Amino acid sequence: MSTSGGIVYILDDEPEMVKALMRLLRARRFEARGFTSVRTFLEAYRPENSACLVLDVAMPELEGLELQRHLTHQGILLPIIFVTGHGDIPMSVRAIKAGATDFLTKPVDAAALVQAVRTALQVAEIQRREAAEIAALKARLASLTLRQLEVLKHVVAGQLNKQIAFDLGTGEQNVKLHRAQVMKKMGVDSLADLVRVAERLGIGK
Amino acid sequence: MARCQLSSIEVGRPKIVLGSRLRIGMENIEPNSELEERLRFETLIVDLSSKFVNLPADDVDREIMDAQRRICKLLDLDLLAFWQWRDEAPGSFTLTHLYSAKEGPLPPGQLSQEDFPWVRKQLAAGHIVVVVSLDKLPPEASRDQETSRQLGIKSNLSLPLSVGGGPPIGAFCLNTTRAERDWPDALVKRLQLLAQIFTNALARKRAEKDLRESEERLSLATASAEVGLWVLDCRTGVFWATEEARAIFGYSPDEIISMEHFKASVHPEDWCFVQESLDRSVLAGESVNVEYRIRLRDGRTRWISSRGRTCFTPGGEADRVMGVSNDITNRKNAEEALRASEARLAAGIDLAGLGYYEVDYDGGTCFLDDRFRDICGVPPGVIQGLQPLEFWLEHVHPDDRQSLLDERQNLHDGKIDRISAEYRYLHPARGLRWIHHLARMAVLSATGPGVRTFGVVRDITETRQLAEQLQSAAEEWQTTFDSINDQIMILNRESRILRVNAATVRFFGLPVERIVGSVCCTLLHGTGYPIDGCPCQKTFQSGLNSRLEVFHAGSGKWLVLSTDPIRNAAGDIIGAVHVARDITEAKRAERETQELRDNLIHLTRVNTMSVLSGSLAHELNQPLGIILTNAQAAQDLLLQEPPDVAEVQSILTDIVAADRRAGEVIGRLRVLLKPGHISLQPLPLKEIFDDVLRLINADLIGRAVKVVCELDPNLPPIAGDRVQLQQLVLNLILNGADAMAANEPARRRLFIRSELHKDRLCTSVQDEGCGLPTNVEQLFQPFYTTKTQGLGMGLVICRSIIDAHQGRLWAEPRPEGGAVFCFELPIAESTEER
Repeated sequence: MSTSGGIVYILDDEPEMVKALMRLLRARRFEARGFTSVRTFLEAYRPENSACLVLDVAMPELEGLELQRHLTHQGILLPIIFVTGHGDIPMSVRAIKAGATDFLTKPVDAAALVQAVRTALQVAEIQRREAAEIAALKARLASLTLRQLEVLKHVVAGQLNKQIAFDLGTGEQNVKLHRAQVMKKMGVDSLADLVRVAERLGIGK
Repeated sequence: MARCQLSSIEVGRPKIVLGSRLRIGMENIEPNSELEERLRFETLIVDLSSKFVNLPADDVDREIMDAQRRICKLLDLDLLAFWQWRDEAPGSFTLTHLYSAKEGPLPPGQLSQEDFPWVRKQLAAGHIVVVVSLDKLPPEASRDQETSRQLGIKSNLSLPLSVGGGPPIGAFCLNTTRAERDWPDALVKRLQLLAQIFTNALARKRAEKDLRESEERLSLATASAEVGLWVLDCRTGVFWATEEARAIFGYSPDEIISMEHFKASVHPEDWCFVQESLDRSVLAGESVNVEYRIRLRDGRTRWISSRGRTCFTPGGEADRVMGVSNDITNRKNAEEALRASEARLAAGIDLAGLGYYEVDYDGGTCFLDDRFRDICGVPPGVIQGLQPLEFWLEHVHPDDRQSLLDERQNLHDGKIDRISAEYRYLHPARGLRWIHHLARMAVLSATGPGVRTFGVVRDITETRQLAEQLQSAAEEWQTTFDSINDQIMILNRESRILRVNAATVRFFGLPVERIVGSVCCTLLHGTGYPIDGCPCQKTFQSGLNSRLEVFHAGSGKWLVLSTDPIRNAAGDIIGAVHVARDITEAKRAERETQELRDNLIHLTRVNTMSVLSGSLAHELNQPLGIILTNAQAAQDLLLQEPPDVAEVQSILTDIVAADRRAGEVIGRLRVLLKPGHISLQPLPLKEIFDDVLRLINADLIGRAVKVVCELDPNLPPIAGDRVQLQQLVLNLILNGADAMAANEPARRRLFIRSELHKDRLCTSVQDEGCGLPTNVEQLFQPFYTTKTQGLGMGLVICRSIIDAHQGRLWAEPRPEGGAVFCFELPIAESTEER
């Protein structure tokens, strides 16, 4: 049903507008779902799907930006396409600064809208994948014992086994053993890969 | 007063009584016997005696000479001489009477004592000298002998002459020169008697002469001294008085002046003094010295000074009182006047609070009155000589001393005739005081030129302090006056400037002398007469404050003039205080504020439009956006195989609905564009146009648009809302200007005219611009605009404003080219509508 594997959420307080936009996007083979209030949207939203949001900024102001903040706060990486009316530039600037993906002006041009949505979904997909990867890595990390975690930290800091042994007050042999386990659990073959993984997880900074 | 000896003269009577055979004056009978001779001699003696008894003094000398001649002849003598010694030439005899029988050597007029020492001695002792023969003279008379021989004297008889038993005053000498002769005792005795007669006569003569002389001297003295002589006889109580005395007392020349008479003349109050003085003199021998008043017959009063003394008899009784009196009325009056004058002076000095002093530099004395002592703090003990003067000088402030001394020297030298000085004085008890000192030289007195000064001093410390306070108060006032930034001028009733403060001087930029005395309007406005609304004139008339705002061309400043009246004690207006405040800044600020306010209003209006357009856009964009998106969706759907027609139908339905919505928005817009609350007031149309033109004046100038406003100011006011009508007019004018933007500058004229039609005022704004479209009414539709930036709402708004005013707005083409926009408004009723 969907062309690029994503859901396009439409949020506008004008129901006719929502209807029109859904018609347009569906005609272009997008999966579009429309809402007229933030509450109803949040109830229906499922973060596991890659999706983007077409949001009318001219909605009662607080709700629009509030939603964006809410989403950011929740850590929901949902690309938002703002649709602005004449004279909403200050608001738009705020929105962009807060991390909107794109903005379009009314009356909305169909081609521009489609392009924006496509891009947003691609971004969403990438994000989703990224998130999934990180989640997997995190799972792996969680499987480390406490000791192994410590060793990991020292290793990615560039310390020699000897040093690590000294710091942790244990034998070098033990360190070597732990190190091997870490590599295995983290699913990496080389020290360089381990370091990259650690960086992605934000360890050792 | 000369002593007056009125002693009686005793005339000796001849002791020899002659018999009946006495034949007086028969000297020519020849002597035929000694008896005859003796008879003749006795006759001579009797004759002479009686003659000389009552002989007047003037005849004495002559008669003595004659007597000498007769004696000489009778006794056959040769030389008879009277010698007298005068008091003034005690050592010599003076020959007073000489008879010589014949020619011969005459003795000199005077003989000194050395010529007849022995004779002299004899005579002085009262002895008669009988010289029969020169040889018979004793040896101690050798000198006499010598002298006699020289004189040719053979025999001599010298009889001493004395008066009243006193010492001899002279000698009567009988001499022979032809032959010696004998002097028998009887003859000598007779001759002695004769000599006595002569002596008495001579003495009497001398006494009378002395008396006369003395009387004359006295008379002279009394006449020249205007004193009156008087003598009171103690026994009779009667006064003898000279002519002058009588005149002084007002008695007639022959009045008898008794004691009672005299007493009646004396002033009753003074009689006791007179009586006492007389009594003391009479009883105790004191001098009479009394001053008293008398009353003359004509009522006048005179002051008399009487002095005298009592003469006592040898027995000690008071015999006479003799004295002089003079009229001292003038002196007494002068004394009285002087006393009165002195009293006035003292009173004057006292009242004036002055201290008085006199200094006699030559005499080395000074006099200070009590006030002077007090003012200068001179202790009571300092009174000797010039000590007070030194004390005073020491206490004069050192810095002031020298100039004071110089002044004093100038006064003494006569360079100045008075000193008037103020100086500091260190009072021993009161400290530093200020003294005002006046001094003069005393006029020359009878004692001759001398350095004497007198003067007065006054303590002026308080006065000086007051003066200083006054001075500093005046300075303070002046400082305050000058520190005020507003210009203050004090004017008199003729608007002449009397006084100005520093701010005024700065404003005019002229020297003070040029400002004071000028007429206010001349300096301030450059006119010779008061300007319209002159506040000075109003104040003079009303007696109240008056204000006026004027623009001072000379300085380019706006001033507000404020005047208040100045009144004298009687309440009359004698001048004005004229205050001018520079309000240029204030006015500029005011103008700026006004401009800002106007701009704000303008902007507000414009903003309203923009706000309007903002919400407008939003309201319309919604349905428009819906239409667009729906249409685009429909386009896509129709491209599908097979097209979803049903969906497209649905889309079209929605499109129509959206369109209707848009229409509603515009419909609502008209309502939105209604003016809202308006308040109708009577407004002169010209005022509204003037306000608007003032607002956009700069704008029009920039566009080179000329507005020809041909509105009659006497048109009746219309009923309208000021702000709304301003907006209307603004729109019409700006539209007109825009229409002419493409014209050459000479043809960018806007004409504004107005006509009254019954109760409605029709106003037109005509331009020379591009004219109207064929469909004129389209102009008044929303969104019709020929301007790139225009919204096309201007005329829509104007229409709605006019409708709210129950007026009409329309447009017509202008015959000469361009457009005419007219609006019609009802004129204001006399009662206001709200």
